[in-house]
Amino acid sequence: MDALLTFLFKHPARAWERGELVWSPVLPAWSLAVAAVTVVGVAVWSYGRVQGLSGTRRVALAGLRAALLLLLLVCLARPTLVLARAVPQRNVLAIALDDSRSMALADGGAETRAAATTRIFADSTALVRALADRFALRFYRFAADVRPAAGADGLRMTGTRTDLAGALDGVRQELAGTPIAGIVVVTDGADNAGRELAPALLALRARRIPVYTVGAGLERFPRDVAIERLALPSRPLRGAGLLADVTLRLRGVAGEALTLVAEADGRVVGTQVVTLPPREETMRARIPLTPLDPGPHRITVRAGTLPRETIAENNVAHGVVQVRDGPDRILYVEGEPRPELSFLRRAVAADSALNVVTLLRSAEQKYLRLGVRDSLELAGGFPTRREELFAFRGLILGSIEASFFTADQLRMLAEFVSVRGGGLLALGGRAAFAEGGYRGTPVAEVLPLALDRAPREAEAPPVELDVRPTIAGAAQAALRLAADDSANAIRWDSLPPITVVNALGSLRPGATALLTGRRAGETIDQPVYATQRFGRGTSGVFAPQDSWLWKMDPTTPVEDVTHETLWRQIARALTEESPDRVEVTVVPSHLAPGEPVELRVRVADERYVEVNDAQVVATVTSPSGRETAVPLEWSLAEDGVYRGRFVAEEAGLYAVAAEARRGRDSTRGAPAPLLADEAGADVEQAEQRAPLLRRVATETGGRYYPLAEAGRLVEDVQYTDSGVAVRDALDLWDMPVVFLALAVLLAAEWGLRRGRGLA
Amino acid sequence: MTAVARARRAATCLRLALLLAALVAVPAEAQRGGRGRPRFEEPGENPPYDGRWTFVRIRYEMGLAAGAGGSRGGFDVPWSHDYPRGERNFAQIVGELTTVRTRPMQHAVLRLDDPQLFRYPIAYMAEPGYWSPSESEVLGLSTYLRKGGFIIFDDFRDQAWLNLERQMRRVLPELRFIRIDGTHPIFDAFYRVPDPEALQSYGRAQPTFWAIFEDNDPRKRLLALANRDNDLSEFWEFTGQGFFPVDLTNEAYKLGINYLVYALSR
Repeated sequence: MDALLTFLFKHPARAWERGELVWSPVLPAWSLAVAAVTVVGVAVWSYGRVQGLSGTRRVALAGLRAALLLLLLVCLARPTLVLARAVPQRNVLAIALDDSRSMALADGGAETRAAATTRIFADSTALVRALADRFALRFYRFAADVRPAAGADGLRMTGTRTDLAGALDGVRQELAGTPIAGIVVVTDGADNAGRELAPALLALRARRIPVYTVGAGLERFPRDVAIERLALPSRPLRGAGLLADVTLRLRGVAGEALTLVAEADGRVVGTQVVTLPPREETMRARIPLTPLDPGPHRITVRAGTLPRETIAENNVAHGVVQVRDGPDRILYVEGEPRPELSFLRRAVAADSALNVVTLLRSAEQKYLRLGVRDSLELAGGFPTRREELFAFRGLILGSIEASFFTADQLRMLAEFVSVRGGGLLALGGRAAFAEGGYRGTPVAEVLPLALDRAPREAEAPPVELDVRPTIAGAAQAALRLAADDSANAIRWDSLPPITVVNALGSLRPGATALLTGRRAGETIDQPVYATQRFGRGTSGVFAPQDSWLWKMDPTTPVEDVTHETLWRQIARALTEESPDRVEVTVVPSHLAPGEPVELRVRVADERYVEVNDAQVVATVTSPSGRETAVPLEWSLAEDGVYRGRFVAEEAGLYAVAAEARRGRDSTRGAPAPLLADEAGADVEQAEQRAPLLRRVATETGGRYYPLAEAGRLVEDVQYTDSGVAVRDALDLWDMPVVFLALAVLLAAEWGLRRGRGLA
Repeated sequence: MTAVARARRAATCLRLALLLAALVAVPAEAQRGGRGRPRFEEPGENPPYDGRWTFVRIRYEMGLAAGAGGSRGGFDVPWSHDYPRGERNFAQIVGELTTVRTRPMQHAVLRLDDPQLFRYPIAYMAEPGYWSPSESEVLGLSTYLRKGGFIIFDDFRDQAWLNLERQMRRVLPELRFIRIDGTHPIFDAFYRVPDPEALQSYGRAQPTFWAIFEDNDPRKRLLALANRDNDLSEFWEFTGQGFFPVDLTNEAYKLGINYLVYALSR
């Protein structure tokens, strides 16, 4: 079809897309206009004189005659296609070949994507020879970074990341100052570097460099299970029960049973059997893992291979977890001795990774301090300095009225979340929330439930509620009471009702309700445990005043530890995301040996204000124990953030620590893990991402081709504004389609005339 | 001396002994009822649970030997000693001196096998020397304490201790009473009471304090506390009536408040 259109219109579609239509009339334009009016008039007049024609037929014949004459006049106007065309051998055509692991997949039969690429783009192929006739070819291979290559034969397919934006930037910068006709990118589009593509495309568009994308692999597998995403808690605390959150992509496997196995450092730490849903093409599964020892761990999740799967390489995913030793210090401020306090403290007391420091106001200006580090800690009551408060990672606000705090302390409470990044949990009680006078205070702004209802009367009876997790709550490790989803639901259903004494407001936009409560006989649920991100930290509301009834209720067996488990998990969740003053991040945390990694360290002072004048050095400990010091530079773009680059040459688990020096002050950050190996990454999204490749091509003025149609590149890439180009003016009056149209018009008129006996 | 004379003399001694016994008995009874103590008052309906601390007194049967557990001829019965003025005064003082959220004039009387008991994690029992729990009460108290409840035994002396120990062995067979002194944190939970044994209720009887801990480990949770040879609620009951010196009454309140704050914070 393309060939026929090219024959009729004299030039390929690509030329029409890139070219500009102009008119170069052989006669003055006014004379053509007069001629057009005249020929139409003559056509109408000539058929108006003919006797015995119906009105319709007369109009048709006159129209055909006029169209014929007008078409001839159009030819006299000399339409021309002005087209920029690369000057042969004066331009460079870059060919960037994906060298990541996903190119080793054989989803199109026995041949891998890389082999198919090599077959088409090897030096001796017709395509490459034809391109080489017109351009100076430069080959590159890319994965996490981009490197020059001799040709398509040298693909190793070991990269664990595909950084499309990095590849485009890299090629553009490598060829800066060189006339570039375009960039051909051969890839499956499995971009997983997490970089924004738009800036790279904008830079190419600014230089008018078209990108021709060639897609390898199937756009949709007929039958496949893929672990598309494996999410792990970033830095859990020692002893925490972890949840591996697995997102599965499903193709043609509805209703089948699938076994998921999680391993930590090669040891099985969790299994789950799931039934794949009949209609959905994705599903999430959460595998509870047994607690891990402090330190870095390599987590592998494997999905069982089903019969006749298109590929099995994407049934496994890898991740890393850095288990912190703790103990995490949480400050619990309580305004009244009450069972909620004593039972909560007992629940977390056995957890050596948590230290709940309690400041109990037992009378006016009288405090009972429990769990303090020394006799001076909190001796003056609630901290009055940010340095003192921000030393804690979590904060529990009990039943204590807002007037207990000064205005600055209320601001400090809010900043504990927004600036320090700590976790705040406000408990229900007769002096909490609106009843405690928090409306209009900075604390109210932080909470995930708006204090938008009038406070209840002091003597109002409590409201009894059956508390159950929401869908989001059931997915939280903090609210997990059993390994299995259904067992978890049954356990929650068996818990006795507890009570609330506060007027609970509406859920703020962006907040997540994790537990809801329902009165007996009613159908309306109200959130009783909700959390939200606020600034750098997390805030939460736990509204019941007597969760201790979950322990004491007569229906609860003596040996039941639900209450203890819940509070340990909630307390752990409170501090899990709290940053240290020196916070180390490794991007990405999983790559192939030899690939570069960015080390990012955020440095703050005791008040958690970012500092830009620190001397920051990261220490990378390799799997063999070798330490490498990497000096980091302050990133001008972001306050308090220092960056550096490291290449992990050795395979295995690395630990990246950092130390920030500022004057005499020296602070170390908790280490972050880095996994370098050949396995795992880059095959999560193994299907070809054609929409992404089309977008790249469209936004840069290029074109997308499936790998099998890459031969069309030869014709298309020559039409370019980029590089050294000449502008050709191509006559269009002699297009075969014009002669064809004239013949059709003549034949139609003749046919009509003959039908009425006029010819 | 003739036999008749000896018989008359013996009868006279018996009459003197009975008279002496009567003289002794009258002040003893006067001590019980003569300080304005009301006759036994059958408790009314318990207030509904609302989350605030409520004084809970344990009502129990005394068994056949000690009576039916109800009113003994209209006078108080052991479980109800100092009821209800003891708890009312104590709750009022707690509300005024501490931040414990109390319910004015509200208190509850519950049996050990009453499911409602589990909504009040602190309980009080008077005169445990008369306590003779049924199997369901033994199970109820055992469950209550193991889950997190705390019970105070008060107002008993001498041989009553033996009964308390015996009954508690039925409740918590693997645990035993351990004597504690002023160094235990419970005596510093609100007021510093370095010498709690200085407060004497029963004349020369030396009071001591005995506790049951989780796993018999004094560093662990306190399940029960016995004021042996002591009667704190007696001081609470007669607050402001001049029967006891103010200093002693204050000490009794200090101990009670310490117990309460300790149990509601540890």
